Amino acid sequence: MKKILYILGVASLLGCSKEDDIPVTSFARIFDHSSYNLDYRPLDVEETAEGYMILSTATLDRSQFPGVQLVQITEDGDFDANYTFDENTIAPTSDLMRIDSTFYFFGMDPVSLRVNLVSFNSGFGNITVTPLNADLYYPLAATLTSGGQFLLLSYNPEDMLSVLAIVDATGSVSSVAGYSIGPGSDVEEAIIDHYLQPEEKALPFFCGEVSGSSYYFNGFFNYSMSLVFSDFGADPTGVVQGQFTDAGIRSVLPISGSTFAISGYQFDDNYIYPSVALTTSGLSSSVDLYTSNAAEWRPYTPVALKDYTLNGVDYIVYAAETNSRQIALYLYEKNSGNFAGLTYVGYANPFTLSSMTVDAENHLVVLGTTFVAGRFKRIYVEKISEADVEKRVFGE
Amino acid sequence: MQNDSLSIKAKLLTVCAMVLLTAGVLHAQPIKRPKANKAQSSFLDTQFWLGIKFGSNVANPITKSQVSGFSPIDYQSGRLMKQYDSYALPGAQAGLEMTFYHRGFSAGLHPMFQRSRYSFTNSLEWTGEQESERFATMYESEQRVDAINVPFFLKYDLIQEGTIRPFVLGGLFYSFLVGAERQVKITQTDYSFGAPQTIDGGDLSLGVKDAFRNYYGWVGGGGVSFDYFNIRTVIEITYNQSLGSVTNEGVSQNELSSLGDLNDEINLSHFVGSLSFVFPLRYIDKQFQAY
Repeated sequence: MKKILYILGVASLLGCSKEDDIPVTSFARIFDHSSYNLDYRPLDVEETAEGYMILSTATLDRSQFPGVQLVQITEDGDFDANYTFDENTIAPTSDLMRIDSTFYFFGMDPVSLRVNLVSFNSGFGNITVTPLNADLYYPLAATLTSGGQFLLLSYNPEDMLSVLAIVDATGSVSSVAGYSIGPGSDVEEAIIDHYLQPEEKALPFFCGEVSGSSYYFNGFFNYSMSLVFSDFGADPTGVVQGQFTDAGIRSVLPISGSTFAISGYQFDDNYIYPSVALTTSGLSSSVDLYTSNAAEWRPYTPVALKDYTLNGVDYIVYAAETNSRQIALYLYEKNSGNFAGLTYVGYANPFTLSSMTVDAENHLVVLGTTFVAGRFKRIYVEKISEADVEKRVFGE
Repeated sequence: MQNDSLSIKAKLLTVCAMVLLTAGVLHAQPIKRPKANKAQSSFLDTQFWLGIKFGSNVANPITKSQVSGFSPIDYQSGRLMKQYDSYALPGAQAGLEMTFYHRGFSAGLHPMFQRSRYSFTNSLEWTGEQESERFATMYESEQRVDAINVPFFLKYDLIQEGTIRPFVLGGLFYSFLVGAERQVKITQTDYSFGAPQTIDGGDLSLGVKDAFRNYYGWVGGGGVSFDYFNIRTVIEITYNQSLGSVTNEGVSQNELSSLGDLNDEINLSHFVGSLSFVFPLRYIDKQFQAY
């Protein structure tokens, strides 16, 4: 009898697994709406004190430009609340930014086409739309700087300029630099189309900061979609020139100095450089960077790049859409640039990528859409804990 | 003497083999009961039994709370509830029975491979302003859970003499998860063609072992033992129930979450019917001869 009890005891101990002790914080949710005709196009996700805030576009009845809506979800992935802006705020940039407990994004006035700064708090309190105190039109991209201000890329249709500006949280513009997009109407048409047909070969407008006084933007310069480095001088400090809308840089993450992690596109092909020295002063061509195709990625996929640290190792995470309509997450070691592992988001129904963020608890939060039943486009959020990243990427 | 002993063993082994091969037939044959005597009584007072056990089961998933991979924006989450079927799909189990018997009481360890099956359905629907703007989809899922089930039984024979011995039993079990598979059949109804069209949305077969875990619970039941020849045939019906969830909460397996499918917290119960053929291990000695 003692032996039997001993065997049972040992068996019970063997049955206890490590997983029992790890709190589950991952989730994957599809935010469904019962409407047959409603489609969602989320843009960005940011962490709130209670969960996550999603910036999304909305379809408007009287405008071809996209409207704006916000969706707030809990930290467990349950729908909490949503808010739809009226038709006086349209064309949001794909960047939701947070300073302390206040969220910001740039939108456009549908009549004047001027850029507005929109701010609000969690729970959609204190929603404020502030026109900028400068002649800036057509917002294209924005980011939060290390100084707690916003870097804004916009388009000036009158002078046909790509305009980089520093904006503070009150909507006051302190620095502005404009660079010619080149002659002809083709470029302007491409810029307008990116608002109206965002799914069609989406153009990768973005901007960022290399150091305290050096900035970059990916936008039109000299008739090409180019990566432009600027210190707000009259001319760019450096340009990695693309080929009209057919080739260029898709995403950038500064590593150190002139070393970057990038992805680029060359017509239908994509390429990845987890560590590459770019010409930040002078002229170069993105065509020269192309070596081989990342065959798994679909043509013209959006690509999100994020720093991510796991078990003391620094990684760069590439998120992109695959030809099989999943979202692939590639991890590269930041120091060596070596490929470390991958995992996928999505199965069966098609998935699209909007953005990716790393929250305060080091979750990877992937925002996109999925076509429920193969046809209804719904917001999809997957939050992946450290433990699940280890398991899915490294099989541990 | 040694030769005699070997001869007896050889005979008994032959008898056992014959019993195994023709057990079904023998049940229909006239029974030659061994005469009860003092030696046999002693033999039956304390005994080890070893044999095979197999049978069928039906499972009932008991949900404590339901979760969904969908988070509704404009409707109540109650619409996402899954409808579970109880005791609907037969499973099976097979393994060993090891029992120690002493004066009416038995303690047994019956490790078995067990396959449990249960099913559930859930559905979604989208509508627009027009009659034709309507679409519905139904997910019919069958879940299979394979485990090495190790129950520890305490059994009491209500009648301790004779060849037919009814008994009651109770105990605990621990189940080691071996595998789990989910088959999902998707059926869609599209109203956009004028009349509703039912469309086969495809079948998916997914390995979902990570969504399940080892589990434990209690078991109770009863049955009857039949002693014919040197084999004991046991018919047993038990009910068991896990004391904790058999699923891992919140595991976001890509294949499941992509369909909006999340595991609920489930306590699994079974009605289990088993048939055992067990053999006494302690029966060859000088005082006792089986026949």
